[in-house]
Amino acid sequence: MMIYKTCPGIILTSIGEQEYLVTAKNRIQLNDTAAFYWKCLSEGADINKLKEAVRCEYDLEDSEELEQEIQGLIQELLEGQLIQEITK
Amino acid sequence: MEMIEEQFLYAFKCAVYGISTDWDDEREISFWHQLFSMAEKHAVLPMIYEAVYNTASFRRMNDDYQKRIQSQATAITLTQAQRTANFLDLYQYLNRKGLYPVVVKGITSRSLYPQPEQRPSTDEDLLIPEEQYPAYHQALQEYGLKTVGNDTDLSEVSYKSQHLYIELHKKLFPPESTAYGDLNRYFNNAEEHKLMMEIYGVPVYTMDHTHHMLYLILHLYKHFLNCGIGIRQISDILLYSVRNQDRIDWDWVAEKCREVNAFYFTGTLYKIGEKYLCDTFPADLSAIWGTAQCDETAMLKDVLEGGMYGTSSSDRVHAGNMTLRTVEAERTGKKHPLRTILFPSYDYMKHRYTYVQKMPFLLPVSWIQRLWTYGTNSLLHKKKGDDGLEAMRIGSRRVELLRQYRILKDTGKK
Repeated sequence: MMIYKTCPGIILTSIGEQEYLVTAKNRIQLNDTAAFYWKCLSEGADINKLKEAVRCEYDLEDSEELEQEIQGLIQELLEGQLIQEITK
Repeated sequence: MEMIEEQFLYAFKCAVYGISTDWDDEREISFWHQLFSMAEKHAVLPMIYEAVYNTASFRRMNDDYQKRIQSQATAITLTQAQRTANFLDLYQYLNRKGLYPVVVKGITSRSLYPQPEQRPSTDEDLLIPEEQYPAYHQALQEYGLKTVGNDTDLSEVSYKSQHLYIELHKKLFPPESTAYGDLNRYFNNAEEHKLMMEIYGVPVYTMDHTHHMLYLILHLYKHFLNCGIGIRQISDILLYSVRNQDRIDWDWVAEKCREVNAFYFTGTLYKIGEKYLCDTFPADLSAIWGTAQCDETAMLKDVLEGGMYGTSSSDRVHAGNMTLRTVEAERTGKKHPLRTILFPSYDYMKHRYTYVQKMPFLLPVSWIQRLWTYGTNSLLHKKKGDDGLEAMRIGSRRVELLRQYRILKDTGKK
């Protein structure tokens, strides 16, 4: 099973309502959804766990669209070297 | 204590707990100016902003003002986050080179707060085995850091880049200092006492909780002997104590504090913490430090006035020389004539004027420069009643504080 986890040394910080991801090279302003995903991934999560958390948080039905959205996001985060794959 | 000071302490306490203040009344612009001015002086502006931004009181302020403070708080927080990210990147780089320095204060203190990056640090301190210094020097240079000053023989060498400032300590306290050089004896075997903690997923070595606790106290003690200490350093100690109270050998810490005349000083720090920064102060801590039975009023006044490390004015910085010389005089049994305050030693000047480090024969030039700068500053920033002797007045008052908190044994009475 593939678990996704945030890479070490990446900082999630906030000031007021706004949350940011900060790496040694970059600063990214996060919207609420992105911040939620990040918090789930910081604990480590597989696709199903992530999907379940998102469905509960935003009261969504299970759908292929949702899964594709999550897959796309994970791919983007992996390419940005913000998260890593761990095989369990 | 003034109303604004009470309100500042309350807002700071809320920030330490990660909650908002309960302010919902209308407050004058002058109140907010004073509050954020104190927050800047103590380098806690993002924390104070976080504790008030969502209150009805602050929301009543005009949008421009709210945005201005928000933008200041954001800039400080993100700059700190960038420094933290850079530091962790460097730490992992050192590990790949087989180097595992011991981190003290800095990132380990920040991690005690609900929003660590809202508590800025100017630098990160690393303790290393002295014999490994050449390997560290090479690794830090390869990483792209440059030394600050050229004397790598000092017990502490600083390195910097755009978003990183590292103080590399071969010893935690300057060994040449008569006032606190001997404090190093408690940390000589720090390598044997290190433990690992994880910060943002990165394993970082630090000292075990008992030694780290003592170091946090004695580091503050060192600054108290110089210019002073800020409220943030007191909350660092309080949070560290509460978080790790069951893992600290308190009898050992108290014994060492007694050995160096810092017991009453430390008791007073805890009393400030108990009265102003804590809802429920741990009974175990109270049992040890409460025995000091100190009146915290004078120290708190000095803390609030002095700002972070007591350097809120050039007068206080100069006064620091006076308090330090007084402590040295007591430790060595020698008097400290006015001459040593006006014309400090090479050891004192070399840290402040780098050209003296390179060319010791320019020591007299640095004395003239120092006096000239101080004289010019006094004239340029002259306030009502300021006759240029403010530093002496602050110095005398702070020497009295050292007596009150039993750091100096000498009562000053003949």
